[in-house]
Amino acid sequence: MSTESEFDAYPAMPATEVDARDRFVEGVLSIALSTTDASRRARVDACLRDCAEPAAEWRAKSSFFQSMQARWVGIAVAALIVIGFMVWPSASGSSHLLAMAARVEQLAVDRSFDFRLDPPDHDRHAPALFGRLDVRGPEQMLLLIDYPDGSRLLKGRDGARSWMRDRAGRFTEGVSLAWPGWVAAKDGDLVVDSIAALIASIDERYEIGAPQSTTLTDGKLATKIEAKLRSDVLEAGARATRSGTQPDAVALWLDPQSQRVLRAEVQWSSSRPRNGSGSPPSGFAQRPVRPLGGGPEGGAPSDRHPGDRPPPPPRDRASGGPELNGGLPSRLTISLKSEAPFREGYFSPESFILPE
Amino acid sequence: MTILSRPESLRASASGGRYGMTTPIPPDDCAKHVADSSEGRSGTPSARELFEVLVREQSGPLLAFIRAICRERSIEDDLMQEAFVVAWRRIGDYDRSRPFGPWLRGIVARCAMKRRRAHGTLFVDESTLDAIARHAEVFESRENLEQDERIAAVRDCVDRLADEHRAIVQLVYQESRGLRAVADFLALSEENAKKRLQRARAAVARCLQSKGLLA
Repeated sequence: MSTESEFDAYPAMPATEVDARDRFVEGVLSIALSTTDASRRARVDACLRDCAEPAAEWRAKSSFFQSMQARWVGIAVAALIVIGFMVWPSASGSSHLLAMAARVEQLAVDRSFDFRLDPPDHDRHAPALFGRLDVRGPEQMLLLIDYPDGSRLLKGRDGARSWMRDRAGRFTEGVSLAWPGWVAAKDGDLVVDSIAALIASIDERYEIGAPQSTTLTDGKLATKIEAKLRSDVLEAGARATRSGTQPDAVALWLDPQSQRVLRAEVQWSSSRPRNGSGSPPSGFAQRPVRPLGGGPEGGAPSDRHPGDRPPPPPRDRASGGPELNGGLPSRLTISLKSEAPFREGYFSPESFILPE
Repeated sequence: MTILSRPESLRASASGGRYGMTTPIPPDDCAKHVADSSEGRSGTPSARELFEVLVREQSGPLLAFIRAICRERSIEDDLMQEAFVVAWRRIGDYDRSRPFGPWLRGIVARCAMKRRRAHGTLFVDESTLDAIARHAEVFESRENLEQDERIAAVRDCVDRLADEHRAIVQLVYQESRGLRAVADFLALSEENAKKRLQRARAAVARCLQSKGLLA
């Protein structure tokens, strides 16, 4: 549609108007092409949070981001563990709905999720992290995390190859690239794509509330089911039975017709002990990850054979490998955004290599 | 845009004028309104919640506006944060019979001009800002279009570009590549790459204008 001659013949305008028009189009292009809904929300939410706190009204932005880089980036990964521990109780009036949801989730379809990680209470000034996860069955996936500094991390696998484009744009390909533990569980299954198995692994440590009709922010009707750790599990005497990443509460919003999980929220309290000992996790990659399919929890790191899971990803910022020394987030929210089929070759590394 | 029904604390007379705000900013209003907002009763959205809903509705156009008026990307979020603080302080001045977007952009513009006076040329000059504000108003006021549809319209315009223009737009805006890297990749000089990108934006501008999304 456009040619250089078209541009040259562009109607004469005052320089100010030409500049304004060009600038506005640039702004619109930047927003339309380079940011996701999630990343827009991330930026706006970060600013709104500060606005809501008069005492912290004006903090230096630099220190704000330094704080985020140092702590919250790692939390992202450690955080999303979340889904790996979506365990829901089956002994309640909601169990039928959950069972149906599990069956629906077993259907392998293309799906795209948005997720949000809220920082832990002790780091509440850090911005939330937002991202997207595209999955096609257990073998093909694309993970995207938008960082508040505008950088983006991409990791993917197309069934045969794993690849990563780090936050500096560098591309790495290899069949054995490590995945964050919250994405791929020990047995190699994708955690997010295994909600069905996770639902099936629910146990009696949670209390499930009665299903409630509600409306999501996009106007869709949904059936909400909440599950909370039982009070006796929360007591000190029972803490030894809890995983360091086991959520305190899980809420699901199901499509009333299809029973598809439309949205899930997983919460942790900041006061809970980590790794069952009260100490912060030394590294997410070393933390126990519950196998999918209702198997036993992963056990302590020392219990695991070194070959059980790939080595942790690189920790330097430029590599894009998330630092793994963060704590759990206060909340993970994941929403089903689309079930539209991905184009052929969507997950292949060639689709995401940038020009050098 | 949908203006939600809001509690009395958010209802006040209109303040017109350039960019939609005129009166000085009371220094302590932010704290007062935060305190008020915390009183939201169960089942009733608090003033704060409604304010955030309105702001989030504007996130796309607002970020595009800020990108357009800032010459330095690293300060975009600083500006947005400052504008939110001011908007929250002055939410009582917002006239709910008017669209929220222009009111919020007006605050952003005022904050930008204040910063320009203090820090020089990090922001566009006032006449350019006025022109950008007009484009933003047209973009937002296009009837019967939701925000997602506006974004889709922009993407459609990109899809319609000639191959060479679409490629450079995608490399720069979608992949966030620097102009030098893009120039190398396309075997162009940096200057030629810059011109090609300008031409691509001009083509997008014409397309948006044909859709009624640009002044």
